[in-house]
Amino acid sequence: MATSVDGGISAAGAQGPHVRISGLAKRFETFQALGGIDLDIARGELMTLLGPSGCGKTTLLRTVAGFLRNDGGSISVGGRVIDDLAPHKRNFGMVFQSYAIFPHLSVKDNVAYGLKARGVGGKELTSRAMEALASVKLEALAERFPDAMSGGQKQRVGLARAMVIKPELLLMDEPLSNLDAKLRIEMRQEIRLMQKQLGITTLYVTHDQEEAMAISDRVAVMDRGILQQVAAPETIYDNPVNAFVAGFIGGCNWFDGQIIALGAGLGLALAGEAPVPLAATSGLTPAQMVRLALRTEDFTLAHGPDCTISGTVLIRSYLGQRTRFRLRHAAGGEFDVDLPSAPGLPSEGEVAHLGFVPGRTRLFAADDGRRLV
Amino acid sequence: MTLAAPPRKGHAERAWHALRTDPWTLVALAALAFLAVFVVLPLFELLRQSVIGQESGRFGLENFVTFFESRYFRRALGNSFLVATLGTVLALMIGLPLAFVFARYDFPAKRWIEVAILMSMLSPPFVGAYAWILMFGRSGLVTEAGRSIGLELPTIYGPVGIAIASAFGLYPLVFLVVRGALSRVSATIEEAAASLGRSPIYVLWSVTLPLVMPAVVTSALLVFLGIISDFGTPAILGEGERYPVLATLAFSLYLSEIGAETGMAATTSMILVGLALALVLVARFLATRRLVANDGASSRSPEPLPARTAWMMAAGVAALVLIANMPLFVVVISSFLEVRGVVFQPALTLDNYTKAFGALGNALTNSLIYASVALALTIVAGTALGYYVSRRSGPLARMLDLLIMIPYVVPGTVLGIGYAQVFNGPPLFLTGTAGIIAMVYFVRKLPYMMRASSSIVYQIDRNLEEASLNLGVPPGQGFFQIMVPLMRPGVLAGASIAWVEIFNELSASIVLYTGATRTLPIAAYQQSLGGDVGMAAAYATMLIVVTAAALTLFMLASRGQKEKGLGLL
Repeated sequence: MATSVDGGISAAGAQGPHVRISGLAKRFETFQALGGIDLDIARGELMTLLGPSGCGKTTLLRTVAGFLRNDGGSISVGGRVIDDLAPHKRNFGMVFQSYAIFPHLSVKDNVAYGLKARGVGGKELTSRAMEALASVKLEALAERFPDAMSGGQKQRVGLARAMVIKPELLLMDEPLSNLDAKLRIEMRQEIRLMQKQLGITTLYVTHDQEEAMAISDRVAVMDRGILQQVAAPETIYDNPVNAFVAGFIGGCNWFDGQIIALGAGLGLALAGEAPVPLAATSGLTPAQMVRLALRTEDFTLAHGPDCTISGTVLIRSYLGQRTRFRLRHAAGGEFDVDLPSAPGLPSEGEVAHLGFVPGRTRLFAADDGRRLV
Repeated sequence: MTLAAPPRKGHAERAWHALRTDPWTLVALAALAFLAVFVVLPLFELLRQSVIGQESGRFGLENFVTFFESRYFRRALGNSFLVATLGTVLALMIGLPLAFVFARYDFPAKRWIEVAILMSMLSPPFVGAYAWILMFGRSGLVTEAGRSIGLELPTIYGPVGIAIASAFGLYPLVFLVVRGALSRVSATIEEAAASLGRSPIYVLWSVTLPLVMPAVVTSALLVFLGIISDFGTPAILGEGERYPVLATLAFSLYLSEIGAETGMAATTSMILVGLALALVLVARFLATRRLVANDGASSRSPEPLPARTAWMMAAGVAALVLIANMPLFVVVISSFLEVRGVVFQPALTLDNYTKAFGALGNALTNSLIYASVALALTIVAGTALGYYVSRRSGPLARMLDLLIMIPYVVPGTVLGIGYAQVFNGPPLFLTGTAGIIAMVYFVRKLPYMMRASSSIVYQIDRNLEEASLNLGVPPGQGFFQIMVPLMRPGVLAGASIAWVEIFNELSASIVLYTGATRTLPIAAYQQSLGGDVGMAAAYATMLIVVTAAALTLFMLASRGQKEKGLGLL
């Protein structure tokens, strides 16, 4: 279960990774929050920690920031181990979910706060603060106090405040979670653009998989304090290493089945359906119990021998280019299918005959959820 | 790849790390050492003395047996219960209707009436008691007036008088606690009940009242605790040993003219502490259950009334509060009246103040100096420790939280006796010094200040400090740049209340003062206790003026607090 697959070649640059987290462990009383995390982040890379709440992603981020002390393992940045370095000496910028804008300071003073601590003063202080505010389009509000500002504006201040100190590493703790949906999409594009322009190494925490997909160079999926998979968004989506990642990213329909001997090779028998021959069979053994994961777009309309699964249409919803069906499977249970909108799609109450898109049949072990084929 | 469990660091290493990375640990350890000496030690000494037989000198429960075998001691215990029960019922009768009206309706002058309510809580209780004597005492204004038309009024001395005077001083507690609970009752719950076809009275009775019942009980327990801990009121209205209660009994046993009975004083103190502790445990138990069901829906805000109704309500409430504050007015007015013998005359004069200032000695300057020193310490330590216990977890923070709260439960007289016993010799010879009075002021009001400060810290977003750290500002500096400005309004408000209570403190300082360290409340108390009635009124008025001034400051400070965001979302 504790497999950590590093899917990025970029992480191993000539001078090694910018950030190297190895064997990092953190325990709260009896709760193991981090169970030995190994993660490399390349210079200029945006790495997202993605997982359900309580999976340890925020603990990992806060340990990197220095707010929590790791019990085991170590973190190094630029080849230097920082475990014993106090948080205020790390020179990391951080953006918080609650914004954490100082309410008693003006917008400009908020941004200038970190610069003052670095001994910047006079004209340089003002010009750098205003420059940072300009980069988030807030120079007009420099003298305002934060209490009258919107969430989006506050988070821009937070971003400017973190960026202005030219941090070695930018940490973002669910920065967009308190914003409404539309603003969230707008802000994440801004963040990504700015991060790329400045080439700043970033560790980004979110529970929103769409956000993670949209913004990241690589995504690290976490569950129960352990990294499940670290890879580019496409890899995570197309090639999940286990049932957890498959289910967490994108959502899946799950079907229980069994591997059977079929002709010369092996086949997959789903409850209530005729067995299907399998092309790739390495690692499979007859009589093995498996779970088949299919995303909504992994189906086609099929006829005759191509038909591998069928269901009665309960609801048909037109969504523009696609039409979504909720179907009841013959063996019980319901599943969702998206088909390109076109004339002749089955109606509610009819039985839909479907096949699988080739190469999309991902099988997982029924017992421990590991990826089989 | 399988992951081996990482090696865990040892306790010593972690403790060392905490000390090195968190300078607050040092503050906490210093506070712990201080509390061990100034809270635990005196109480432990009293406990020790209570279990050493006064006659036999042997270890055992001899003193407790003596206590419960003596009719006189048993009477003091019974009196404490009687007075506290009566007083609590009265305080509920005044406080509950006020709480309901304030939580549910808006009417003119609401804020000022509220100040008046707080005023009667914060002026020293024995001033109220003295005012009742001025009105209904043997030669009181009302008593004399009654006598002139041949009417003999019942005596104010004894249980009923003590209960009335205490209730008028403590009903604001009921008001504050219950009003808070009422305004947290979700409006939708009551609306749901009303939509099911129930009349407003029935909704109040069947829905609202059960919801705020724990708050009502908690406030009643606090009033009860306040009454059994009070020394001044029963001392004045009970005329010392004539109508003894536990607090006055402990005091007179300790200072007994026929050789102090320190063992029995300690025993009485322990019984009082045990009683107070039991009450607080019950209150705590009630508080841990949810005080008021709030499903997160909008909490209830007061509704405006039609102008006529609003004015009538304001007049009614004002009249009630005015009656409750009557003692204060009586004292202030009396202080400007001519005195012949022990009877006030209907003629204005400043004679009482001339005499009062003449006999003042350094009581006023003492009070100002001791209270200022204690307040400064209270603010610094209360702010720092309030911050520590609300921002740190772990055994050290929990232990501090517990130790600091002890003086809140222990009656002042008991703490005073403990101090007098422990600090009357080396290594810490403090008895009779100014230091011991400032110290007992400080220790007694620290719990209040710490609570005030920690409740503010809880409201401030934790991430603000982390943001400051992250931007490269060291923790100590960050505390002063971020936390101090944000806590300031709340701390100021808390400090003005602490100032009032420190300045008016009587029950511990009465045990510890000497001629040279007499304070203004002690002077006022001594004159009230069969001294010059005019001078007593003048001293009491001086206390009231200081209280009123500090309350005004409090109102200004707390207004500022509401307007400022506290870094919340």
